[in-house]
Amino acid sequence: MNSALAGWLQFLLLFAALAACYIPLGNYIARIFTDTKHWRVERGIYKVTGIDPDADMRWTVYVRSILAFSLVAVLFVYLIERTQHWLFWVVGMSNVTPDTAWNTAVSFTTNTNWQNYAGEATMSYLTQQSALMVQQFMSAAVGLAVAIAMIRGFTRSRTDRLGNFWVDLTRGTIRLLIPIAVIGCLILVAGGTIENLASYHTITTLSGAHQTIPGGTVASQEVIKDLGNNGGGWFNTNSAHPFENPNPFTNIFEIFLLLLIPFATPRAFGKMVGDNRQGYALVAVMVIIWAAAVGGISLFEVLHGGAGPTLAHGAAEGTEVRFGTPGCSLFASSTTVTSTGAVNCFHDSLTPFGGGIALFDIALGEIAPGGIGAGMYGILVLAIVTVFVAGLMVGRTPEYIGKKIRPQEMKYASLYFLTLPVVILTMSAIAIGTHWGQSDIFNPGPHGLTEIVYAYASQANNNGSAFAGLGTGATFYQITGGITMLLGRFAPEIFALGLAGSLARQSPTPASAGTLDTRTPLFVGMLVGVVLILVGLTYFPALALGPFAEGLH
Amino acid sequence: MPRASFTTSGTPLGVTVWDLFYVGLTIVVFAFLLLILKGIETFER
Repeated sequence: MNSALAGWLQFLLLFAALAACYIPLGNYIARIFTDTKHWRVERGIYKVTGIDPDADMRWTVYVRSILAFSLVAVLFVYLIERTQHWLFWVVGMSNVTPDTAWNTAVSFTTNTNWQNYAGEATMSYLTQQSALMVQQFMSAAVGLAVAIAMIRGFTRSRTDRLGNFWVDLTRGTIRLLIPIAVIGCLILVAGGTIENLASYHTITTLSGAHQTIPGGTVASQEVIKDLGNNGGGWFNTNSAHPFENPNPFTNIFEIFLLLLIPFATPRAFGKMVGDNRQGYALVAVMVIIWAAAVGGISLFEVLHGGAGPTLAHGAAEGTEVRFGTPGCSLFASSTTVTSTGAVNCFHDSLTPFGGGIALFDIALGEIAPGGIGAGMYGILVLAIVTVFVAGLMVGRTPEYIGKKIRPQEMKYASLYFLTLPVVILTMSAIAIGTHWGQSDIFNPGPHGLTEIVYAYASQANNNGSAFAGLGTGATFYQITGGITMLLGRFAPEIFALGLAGSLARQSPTPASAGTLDTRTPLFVGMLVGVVLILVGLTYFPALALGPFAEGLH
Repeated sequence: MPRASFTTSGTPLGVTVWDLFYVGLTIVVFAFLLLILKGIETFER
């Protein structure tokens, strides 16, 4: 089949599947978090853990609960990794070194899944399942809980309460993630992804060499890796490994999984605020940016100049031949617009402009559709910035979903938006400007700069994909990367919940003739413009000196 | 995700200085985040 046609068919198939799930899944998510009854299993969990499920939390208590939960999670994962050799299901693995153990603990707790190790050569089965996989569920549920609390900021009035973090965390895990993960796991197993607890086998190849064949509960981790926008693979080569992603069917299914919940969340938002058209407007913005990213990367990968790439129907270096250039481009763009970071081809091998788009996707703050929950609260903050800009144009007090956007809300929105550029660019500058950072840059020039900025952008935005070519296993990059992930995850969540608390305290403002209708194509266009301009202006120097300079050379 | 180079596992015995360092670093970063929260609370009042 023609390569371009294959790409179009995959995209259209994916779009149709996601569109079909938008309403039922979005409605279901809304129902999960507005249901007044607790399931029996949930009541059991609350009883065992001593949680009062009916306690309504102030936004500051909500934040403290998230931080406390995440702090314990980091230390727990670190402990498991550092002692795995003395536990069970060891499969011959030593204890993980402190650098890698800490970076990985932070990485999985923050939904980043940045991996400085080869999973099949470093982690025991116990670590993969009891530490890493558990965090893939938990960190995704934390992100979703923050988004739901943010939505409550719009639906509630004259209160400073945003719900109960522990209830949101439990419901998101039990009612949403686990059921879909079970079904998805079975589909992946049917597609050929492995799922076993077998010991590693050493075989002799036809040429007489010895090769170790690893096993593992790969399918069950694979499904939450994608569904929870985590990205941390069982194997070093992630979704390019045939045990994780055996064929084009599993490839398209994995892309579907990583886009499923983020694209359905705007529907839940519309449902919860009582106006489904608000959800349609936000999902339209997400689809426009995602489609542009898919088109952009596909274009540059297929039209890459030179005789070799032309004969191969695309820039095939670093591309998994089972999926081809279209399968790689669709995966790369989908994994970078969400906070997933799983890869089925090497992003370092993308053409300069193709790689530049992947970097730009991440720099967007991953709002199109973004990570699970994170994409929702991210786009809501940008929607608030957009109505503020529109309010300045017409000289009226900006409003969004019946809430006034006053100086206090704008301060939170500004802090939210400024946090990531400050963290990313500061860390990149330290890496470029010091001996510790410079000594592990393997590619000098523009490509090296792109690798560094990509690394910190990926970690701060909790994406987790990498450009490779950078010695991120060095202690300097492990420490700065870990700090970047923690600040990039939790500082914006603090500001988002602060904003939600501020909105919840307001009385609802009825729409008037001067209120900007945020359900129209005009608003969708404005929001897309604000997103692109804000990110473009912030990261333009880095993009110009990195991928643009390399591409135009 | 995949890296050009990665750190393989070792077998350090017992609690090392690095373990204390990373536990301490974790606590410091979370304390910083709590400080941000505290600052906002003060500002809101």
